[in-house]
Amino acid sequence: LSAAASPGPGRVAWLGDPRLAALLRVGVGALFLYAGIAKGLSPAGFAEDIANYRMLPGALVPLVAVTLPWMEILAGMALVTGWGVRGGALVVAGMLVVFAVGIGQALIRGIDLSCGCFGAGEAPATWLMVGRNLLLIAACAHVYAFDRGRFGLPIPRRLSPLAG
Amino acid sequence: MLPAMSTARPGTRAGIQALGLIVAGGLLGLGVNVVRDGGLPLDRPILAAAETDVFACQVPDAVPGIVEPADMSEALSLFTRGAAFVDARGSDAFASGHVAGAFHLQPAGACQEADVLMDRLLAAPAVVVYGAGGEGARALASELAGRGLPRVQVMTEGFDAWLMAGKPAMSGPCHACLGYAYGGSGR
Repeated sequence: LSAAASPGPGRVAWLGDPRLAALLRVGVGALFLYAGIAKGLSPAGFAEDIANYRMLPGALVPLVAVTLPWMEILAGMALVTGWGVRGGALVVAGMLVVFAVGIGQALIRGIDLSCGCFGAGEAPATWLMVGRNLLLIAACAHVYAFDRGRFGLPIPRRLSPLAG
Repeated sequence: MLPAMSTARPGTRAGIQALGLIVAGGLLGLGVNVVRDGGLPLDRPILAAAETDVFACQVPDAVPGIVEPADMSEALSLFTRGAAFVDARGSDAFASGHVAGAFHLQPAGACQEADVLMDRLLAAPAVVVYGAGGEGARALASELAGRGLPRVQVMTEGFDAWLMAGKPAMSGPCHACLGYAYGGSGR
């Protein structure tokens, strides 16, 4: 058995505690749920924010602006409810990587833009946000490795493939 | 745990879940966009706002036209005489409030929009461009004049001044603008 499954004795045993993973899971999930809803309410503003990152061709911007918030909402729901935790953690981590790269490239290229992280028209993007995303990615990795579905909604028997 | 699933490696299963979430989220988003009021038109490119006030779709041989400034009282008199007003701000700003009957043209990413609106603008006795008060409106006005509009003026004060002065304003999307990127934020 791996060390992950049965954390050995020592000072860092709490690091692999499933309760910590559950806490991170619900926290990150709620954050994405909120972010997705905020963006989904104002797709026009979000589209402008995406365009300002100058990573995507303009023709693809509306499609991403329309679909991305709902991917965030579903992935956030997966984490909050505990249904499809690992899939949700993968999706959220993947998006966080893309967002971090987006903000990073914009900052390096000297593009002054608003983040668009939680809907349109808020704070300008900074390196602090890249750091925040890296922390959230670490949280997703923790959830992926250690979450055992604590504090999740019970999964109906028929949907049991969603477990894990 | 179903027996069939228990044989799948956890990583594979997580990948399938992730794919499912992405596909379901995408379809949900597309569906909501179709159903919702003021969904984004997917076939219309949205470009980055110009940081440099350069109009994104310049006509190759167009010479920037001459544009006269218009102060608030002149703008109002043009308004009452039926001049077409053009809003050069972002679409969220436009949707939350603009000069009554104004068209929306962003300094960048508005090529198709300008083509579509050109006939309407040519039919008006004059065209007044305004922004938030900065240079964006002037660049757009100059571009429009260069495209052959005979009377283009720039409102020297921005929309906020217009609003503060109690002049006619309204909110919501630009209905003449082919639905250029508006959300449901219009009230």
